Amino acid sequence: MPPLAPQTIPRTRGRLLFATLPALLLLPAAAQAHAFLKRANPAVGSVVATPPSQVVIDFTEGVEPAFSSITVSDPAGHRVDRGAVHTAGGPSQLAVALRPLAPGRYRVRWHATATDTHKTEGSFAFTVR
Amino acid sequence: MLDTEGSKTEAGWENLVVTGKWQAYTNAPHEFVVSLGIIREIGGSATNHTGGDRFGSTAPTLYGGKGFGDIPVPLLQPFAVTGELGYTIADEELKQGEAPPPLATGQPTGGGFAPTFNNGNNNAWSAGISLQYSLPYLQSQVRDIGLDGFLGNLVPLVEFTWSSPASSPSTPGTSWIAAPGAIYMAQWGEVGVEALIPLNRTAGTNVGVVGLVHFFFDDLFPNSPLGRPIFQ
Repeated sequence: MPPLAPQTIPRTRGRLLFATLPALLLLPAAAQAHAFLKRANPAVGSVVATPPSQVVIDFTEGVEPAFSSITVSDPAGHRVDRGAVHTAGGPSQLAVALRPLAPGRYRVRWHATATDTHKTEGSFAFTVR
Repeated sequence: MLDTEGSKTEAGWENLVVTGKWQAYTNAPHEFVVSLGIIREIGGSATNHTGGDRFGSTAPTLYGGKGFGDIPVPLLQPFAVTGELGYTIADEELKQGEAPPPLATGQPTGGGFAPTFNNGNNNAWSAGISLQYSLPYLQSQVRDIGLDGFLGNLVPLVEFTWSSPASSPSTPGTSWIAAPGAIYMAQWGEVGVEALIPLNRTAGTNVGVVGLVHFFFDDLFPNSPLGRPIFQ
């Protein structure tokens, strides 16, 4: 029987895969996870009329602010964030303040360390009209 | 599961397969990765009554994957292509038995005898290529289109697999299969289902279905050695 999808791991996840039944039995109690982007403000790929004063990212898991970062760059590649991230609405939310933004396309890059120490990263863009 | 006409359905395990894989080259900005692996099928580890093979095999395999995140068309960026090419070396190679001896009367045996084979397997080439579109990638890296829950964790894909004997006698011949389906990504693992559509007669005449469950041990057991790379 041919294997299903030789490499079906999404690009945001680097995982070791094993198939076994006993793990399923331990699932409810043992499951912790990597922190992935769940929602962002400004939204991923959005066009906003009012320049945002900060970028806020909701993650799927709790994150450690001291070991996580969010950087925001303008179209020329210059940083427009104010540096340190801080928790916003709870342990799974990070935010970074922004300098005043001119119209243009901005790139957000984030690195997150989940509370279980797993590291993840990603990026997205938003546009100020 | 084995369903034979006139007999009751039997269920059991296939042979145990262990894979070691080395991620040889990674280019994160261009979402490109190449890995080398060895797939070892342990002969005789399957359930006997479902016809498990008593001989194993070893398959050196080359893997590759390329995401389209670096192309300028946003809605095409969630596409990715993956592929693998392997050569399976059978522990016991398939061999045709010798023709039966002449009859006592001295008459030749003629053509009435079917050829006999040992229970070995052909060495074989096999390859697979998949084209997939990651909705989680679209949602988190390209454009938030408001997909929540089930849809937002889905990766539709189509896979083409090919296998061909590399030694004689070649039984069966070259087969081609198309497999459209989808993978559901969860935090603890992934669940996939694909239709198996034979593209030539060797691959069969009916459409089949294959399912797969992968568990992410590094998430299930985050503070244990399970799920961590052996070498980093």
